Amino acid sequence: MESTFITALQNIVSPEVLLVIFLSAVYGLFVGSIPGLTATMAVALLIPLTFYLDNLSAIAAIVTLEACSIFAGDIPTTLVRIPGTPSSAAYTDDAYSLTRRGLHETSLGVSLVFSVAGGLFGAFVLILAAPQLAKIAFEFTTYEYFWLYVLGLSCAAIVSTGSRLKGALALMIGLMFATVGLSEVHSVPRFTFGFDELFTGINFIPAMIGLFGLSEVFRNTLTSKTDEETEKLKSALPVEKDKSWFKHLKPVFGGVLPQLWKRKFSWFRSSCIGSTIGMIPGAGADIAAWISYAVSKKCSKTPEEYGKGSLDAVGDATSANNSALAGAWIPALVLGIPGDSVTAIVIGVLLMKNITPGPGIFENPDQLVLVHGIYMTFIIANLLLIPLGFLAIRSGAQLVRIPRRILMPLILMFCVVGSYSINGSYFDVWVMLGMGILGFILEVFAIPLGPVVLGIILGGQLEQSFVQNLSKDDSILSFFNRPISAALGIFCIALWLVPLIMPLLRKKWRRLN
Amino acid sequence: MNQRAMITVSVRWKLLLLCLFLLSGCTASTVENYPDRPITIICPWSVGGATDRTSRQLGVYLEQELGVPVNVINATGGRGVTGHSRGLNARPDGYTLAVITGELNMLHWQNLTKLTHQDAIPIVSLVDGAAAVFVKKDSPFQNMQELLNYVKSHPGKLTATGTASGGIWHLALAGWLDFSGLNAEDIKWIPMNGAGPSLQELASGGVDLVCCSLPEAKTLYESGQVRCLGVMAEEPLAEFPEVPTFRSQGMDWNISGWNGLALPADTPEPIVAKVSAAVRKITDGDVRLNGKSFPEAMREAGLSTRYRANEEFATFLKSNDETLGKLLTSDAFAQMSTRDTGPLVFPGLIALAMCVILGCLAVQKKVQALAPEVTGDAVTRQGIMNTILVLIGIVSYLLFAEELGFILTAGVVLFLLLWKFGTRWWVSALITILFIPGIYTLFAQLLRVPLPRGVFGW
Repeated sequence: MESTFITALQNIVSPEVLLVIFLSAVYGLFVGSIPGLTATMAVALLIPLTFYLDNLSAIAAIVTLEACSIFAGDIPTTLVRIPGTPSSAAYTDDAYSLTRRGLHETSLGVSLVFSVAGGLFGAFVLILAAPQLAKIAFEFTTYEYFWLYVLGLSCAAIVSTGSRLKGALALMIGLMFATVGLSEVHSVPRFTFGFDELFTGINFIPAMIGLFGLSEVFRNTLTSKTDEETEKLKSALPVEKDKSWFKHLKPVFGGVLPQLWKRKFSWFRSSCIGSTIGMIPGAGADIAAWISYAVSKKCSKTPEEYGKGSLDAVGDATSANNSALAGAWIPALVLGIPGDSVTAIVIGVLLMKNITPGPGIFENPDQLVLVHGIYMTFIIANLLLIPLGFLAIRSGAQLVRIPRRILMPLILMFCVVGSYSINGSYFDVWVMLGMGILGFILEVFAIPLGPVVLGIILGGQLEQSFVQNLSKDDSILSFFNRPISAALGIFCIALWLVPLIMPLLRKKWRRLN
Repeated sequence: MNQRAMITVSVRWKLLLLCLFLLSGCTASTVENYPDRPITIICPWSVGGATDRTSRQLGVYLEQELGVPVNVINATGGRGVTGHSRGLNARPDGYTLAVITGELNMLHWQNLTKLTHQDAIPIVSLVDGAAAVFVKKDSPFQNMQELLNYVKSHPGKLTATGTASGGIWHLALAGWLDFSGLNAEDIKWIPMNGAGPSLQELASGGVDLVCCSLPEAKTLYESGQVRCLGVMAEEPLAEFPEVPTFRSQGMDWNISGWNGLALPADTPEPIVAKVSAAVRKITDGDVRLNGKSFPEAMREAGLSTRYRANEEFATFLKSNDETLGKLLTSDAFAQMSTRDTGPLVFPGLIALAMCVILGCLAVQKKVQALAPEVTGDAVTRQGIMNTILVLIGIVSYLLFAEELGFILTAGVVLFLLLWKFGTRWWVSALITILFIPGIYTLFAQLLRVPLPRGVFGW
């Protein structure tokens, strides 16, 4: 054990591996911060390179890339309201509201530090308990998945700002969009209106870019009023006279460490949620972020701030989505079952390198060295994220200084290119356009956008597990016939019913007294 | 318009085009100097799967052999309809290669697409993965005969999965039941999105059987979480010699999923020849990368291959299409397509929920909550104009980008928007000149995400 640990350490501190890690970190930050380019896509683009790299460098590159790009997704989310990755959609409104108040650097500082803290937590869970925890993957059948998706979706609807009914309406709109296309279960085209492109359904990446990003462009152009808003933002920015490094550090990191200390329990809670959900194959950082956001709001003393620029919300949700990353590696390494799309690629890369993930990987000394290398890379990548993330925040922050009349056309270009590039399809750009208009209209009616996005992401899987359950057994009771599915199911139902019953109970209680 | 004016117009157009050619310093690609720009491979299945791994592996070797970047795009979804139609309906200029899979010979029988193997110019077949039947490690079944006997005495008791309903592995299992004289529905098929989730469901005890190819189950099989009862191949597989074939268990039933490389119909003959030559060199193992040849790399990844070049592949496609067609149109299979939970049940439930929610909003007398909230900012006339411009910008990009290419279209749109939004024209021009080629370099060159190319190739 110890000797493999030392060998792994020796392998990883070689200049080549460290250089690979560094370059992947930069690449990850870059890709993550461009809307439309996801971590999965970045890793897929990296595959040809991994043929040339040795095993450790190849895997280290993927780990680093992933860790950095999930944080980087927060940068466009905060600055221009386009979620860089789907995991940022949960707290888009919070982060962007902070930017409108001129607090973008604080918000991104919180994102960065809590991302790193969450990422490190996830890494330690992976290191300490991977073999024991991996079994959780074998507890999940279609029944458990059904309730897990319901839970994630309920959280999104319940926590959204404003009325719960509107959140639910937004959710239904999202779920409805998810039914477009050839249904995986029946292989029957639905709502395709004869368009071949619609067979794939509505891709959530262009939908997300449209709903959040393009609708914001519309809102800005509709209320074009020269450069007032920019001026307002500028005046809110700290005046920079002192150009020393410390002064640059302050708006980003000032106050974050005390906050991390103050919120250490909520960080722990969010990271636990993130790791646990990450471990479940097929549920990833996006659901983790939503659920932890919901829990955070329930536990908060200031729930009214959530959705309107709460730093606590941003911190808790980012810790969760980063800790979920390492969680996804647990079933991948121990069982060979991918926890998310990135680990699916990793398993492919490992197989190409003639390594079969599974329990055997911990017994073969050569491969154990690789596993230890993966552990260490997780830690190094997260630590490296602090300085690199800071630089990314600083350079990204310049965006808000650009006058709106110049910034808006540029954002528009990024929306178009980003939605095209995910699949190289013009149809996705049309989707982005349609969703932009829809997003604008929904916001006018004060209907939250987050649940729409999550509905599109999870709708297909929800329906699939629903139909799978029914085709196994017609009775609704079968949804509760396994211990975990029963627990999750009852919890989900309570989540919706309790707020309806509570006022009645309270009334009765008062009458009794 | 009189004729003279027409001539002037066309001369002007030609002059403009000529200028553009000169400006770009490159001419539109011709057949002779193929390939002189990046090539895209369209893979109809998602990242990480066997077909994706094959596409990417092939891409790397093609890149080495042809000397231009080769990118893989995963056009997933729609059970392969999307990817196959994207790949085979692409401009037949040799810059888009299509990876085709067994579904090409199935989808048209199921009326999901008009596309058939005749729309493809076959280059080479690559992976050939025979279907295999898996059970959980603690399952009572030890071989196919025991399974068959159980199904005979308990029809409809067992559940199986592996892919969507009507997918290749479903076909394999249902076909086997039919072949054994049983009803195709005697094992209930639970539709699942791919082999990975299916195997996890099997290991979690959610289903009794999984039917998929052995390489797809490699990790769980080798770690002993699942056992393999038999593979539907004529001979034992070289990579998994210990797995008994169906034939050795007295059932002469063989079926496999395959993938291969093809070009869109109408691709010029010289290009087809060039691609075929390059691919043949790769599959013959003459191209080495890091000291490894393509066949070696595929073997190490556990993928069983069967290389059939052009004509041979075409013959195989034809016979495979007939076999699958016979199965799919048979009575046994046709009667299965009706399911209890129809495709409109779920959307119906959502629509119902939507109505209830809207009803609640109305009953709660929160009708005013549905009325537009007053936004802080007033909509200006200039604002409406600007928004219309944005819309026109996006739509014109969508209409012209494919023909004119990214740089030209996006450049014009961006410049006009900047200028109309009140930036001085030369500033707008400067930003456009810096930004558009910058984005193009970033995406198409550095990140290798293809952007629209147009007739000029950029």
